[in-house]
Amino acid sequence: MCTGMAAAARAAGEITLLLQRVRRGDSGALEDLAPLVSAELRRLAARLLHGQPPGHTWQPTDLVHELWLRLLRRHELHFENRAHFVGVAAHLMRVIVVDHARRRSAHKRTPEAVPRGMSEFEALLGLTESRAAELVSLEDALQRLTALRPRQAEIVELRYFAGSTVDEMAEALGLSPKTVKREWAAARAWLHSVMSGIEV
Amino acid sequence: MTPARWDRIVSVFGEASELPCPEQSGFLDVHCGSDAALRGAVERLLSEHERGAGLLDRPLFSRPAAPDEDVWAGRVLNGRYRIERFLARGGMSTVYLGRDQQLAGRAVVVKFLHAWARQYGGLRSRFRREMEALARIDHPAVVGVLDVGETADGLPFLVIEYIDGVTLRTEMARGPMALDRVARIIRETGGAVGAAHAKGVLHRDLKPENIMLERPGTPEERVRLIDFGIARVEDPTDFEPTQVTQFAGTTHYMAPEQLRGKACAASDLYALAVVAWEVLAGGRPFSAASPVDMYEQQRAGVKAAVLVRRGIPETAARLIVKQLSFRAADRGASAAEAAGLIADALLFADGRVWRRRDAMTGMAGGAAVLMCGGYAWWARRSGPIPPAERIVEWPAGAEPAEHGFQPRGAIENRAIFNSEATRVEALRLISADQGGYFHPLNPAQAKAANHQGWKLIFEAAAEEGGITAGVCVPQAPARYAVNITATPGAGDLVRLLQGFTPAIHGIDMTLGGASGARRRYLLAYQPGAGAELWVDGARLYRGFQGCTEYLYARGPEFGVARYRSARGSGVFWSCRFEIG
Repeated sequence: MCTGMAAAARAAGEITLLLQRVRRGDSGALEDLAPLVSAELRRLAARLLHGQPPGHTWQPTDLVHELWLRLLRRHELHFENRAHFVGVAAHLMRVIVVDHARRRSAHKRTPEAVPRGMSEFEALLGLTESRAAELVSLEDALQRLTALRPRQAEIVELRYFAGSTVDEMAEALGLSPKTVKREWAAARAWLHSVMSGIEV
Repeated sequence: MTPARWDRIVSVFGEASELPCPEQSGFLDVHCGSDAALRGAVERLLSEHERGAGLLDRPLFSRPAAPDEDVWAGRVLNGRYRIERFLARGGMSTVYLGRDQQLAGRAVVVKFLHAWARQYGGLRSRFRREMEALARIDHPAVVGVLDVGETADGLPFLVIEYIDGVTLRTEMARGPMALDRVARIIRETGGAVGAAHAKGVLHRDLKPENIMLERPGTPEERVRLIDFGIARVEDPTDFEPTQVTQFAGTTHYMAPEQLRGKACAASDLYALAVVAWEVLAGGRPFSAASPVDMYEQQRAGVKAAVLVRRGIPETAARLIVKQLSFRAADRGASAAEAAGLIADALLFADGRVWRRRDAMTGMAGGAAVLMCGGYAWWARRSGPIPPAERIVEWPAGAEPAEHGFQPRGAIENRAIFNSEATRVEALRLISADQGGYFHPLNPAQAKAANHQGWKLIFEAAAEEGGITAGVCVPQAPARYAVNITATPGAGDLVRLLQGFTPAIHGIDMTLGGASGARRRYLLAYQPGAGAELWVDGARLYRGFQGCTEYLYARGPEFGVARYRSARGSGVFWSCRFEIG
């Protein structure tokens, strides 16, 4: 376990360094970086996509590609350990998914728009118009929650957008599993209530 | 709201949520004092906490998890139960075989709530409460709960007695059962259900698969009721489409109020009556494929005369039908009492004791079965038929009409000769719409086929559109049909027909190998078990319950249909129907 964590931290440190070199315009660093980042992201993506019904043409690599592009656009590129890296990836997942959801529900509000089918990514998310509207209202509520208690918003990101377990969240946030469970329960109940239109 | 206020709410909520429900109110009295707004907020959160099935309750990308059968093998739970191997996977839980290391390696069953299911809010505490309720039922016919616990990462599990026996479903498939045996099984099952009700536990999923028989067929045979529908989630909409048929399967035993999501004790009585019907008469009282149609059939109701016509003593028939009432209030008193009355009525019909038989002895020989007065309807009511009438066959190369097969629909047939062109070895059937050949059965044949089972064996290849073959047995009542659609480049598609409305639908499977290949199909029906489909010697499907629409004729049939192409075309080498 310890050696695994150490290796993960080393990998994360290496990723950080390489990303900084990429940002300085060192194209050789990109080649070195790709396999490292991809392996980490692919592991995350594969888990996210685990259990999908067969027949989806969406592959973990597609998700990796989108995450990877987002990652390069970020400014602060420093990862302390793998848990931190997963936290960043979870946040990016949220950004990507909410982007898609907003586009889909904005489309719905434009009456003259030609009805459009779902992209594969949207199909993967089960992003019907009603689901898109739900995700948008989740995002609005989540931003309010961030103002109240940022830690709870992070837990929701890890749990809902990255599918993390309680133990993984505890590790990522440096909290006890018991605290994580309590925070999650409160955040979940509050978000569900607010999203159903009942202020607490 | 300010962050400080929210902190306060979270803190009170956090402690309250971990208390049992009855204690929460007192806790809030103390901790909220006169702050009604605080109390209102916490109560609001608590009520959301208990509710499941919200957006956040399943991570964005996760579905019901893929089978994780091996994950637990080798692990030891509660310091004594070693998981040996995966047994089965249900809608809500996964079941493993384990060994109790503290009791000489005694076999136990360990049941886990699915990892995804525990994400439903409040479900875990409910699972635990129900497990504990189940553990309190102390009845010889209810499977014993030995232990409950949680894994290190918080997954609740249940340790249950391992039952060495067979399911009632398996026994039913073996053939008719003696009436006194059926009566005893119904009585014991009712007693077990009643004992659960007395402790406030509903079974919710009573069916022949959940009624185990220990020492089956011996004088010591005992019923053991398993698989109580604990910790059920009310929202089945997220199940994958492949589970639709499974869902339809379980609706056969669901009372109207349970279909509406409000099970009560009388729902278990309803299910017990369906089981009684199935064991005694074969088939089920209502046969709709969809929950909505089922509900409509239940509303229309069923008459005791249907059972009486199948040879069930009238009093028993009326008692069974009473338990199938649309309104829960119109059903029986207690489960034990209702089951006891049905059992008595079976044994003491018309004021006399039905002839008792040792269960299952001499069942292998058909003649013994046909002569026993005390067996369930299909055995008693089917008269002997001459051996020659047991087989209906259109042999390779012959003209179907010479063998009693009548043309039906727009059909044309062209002979296919063997390579030396010396004899006809098959027929190519062509239809611009749909058509084929059909062999009517006489009443004795139809009855015997219903009661003793049958096999339809045909060798064919789909060329364009598709081919179809099947057997219609109106008394069962069902049509068992197989459609094979030629799908070039994708392997042929097999559909086991379940209905025509609103569109033709059924259980779809893809055949490996080349499209349009010649294959040997075997459709075998056993009363009580439905039909099995075998293709080239491999079983593709079991438990096919047929379709109940357009039951206008009885007998085997085969033909071609246009489906989505310009015409239907296929080659048939032979078709044979065997009774028994």
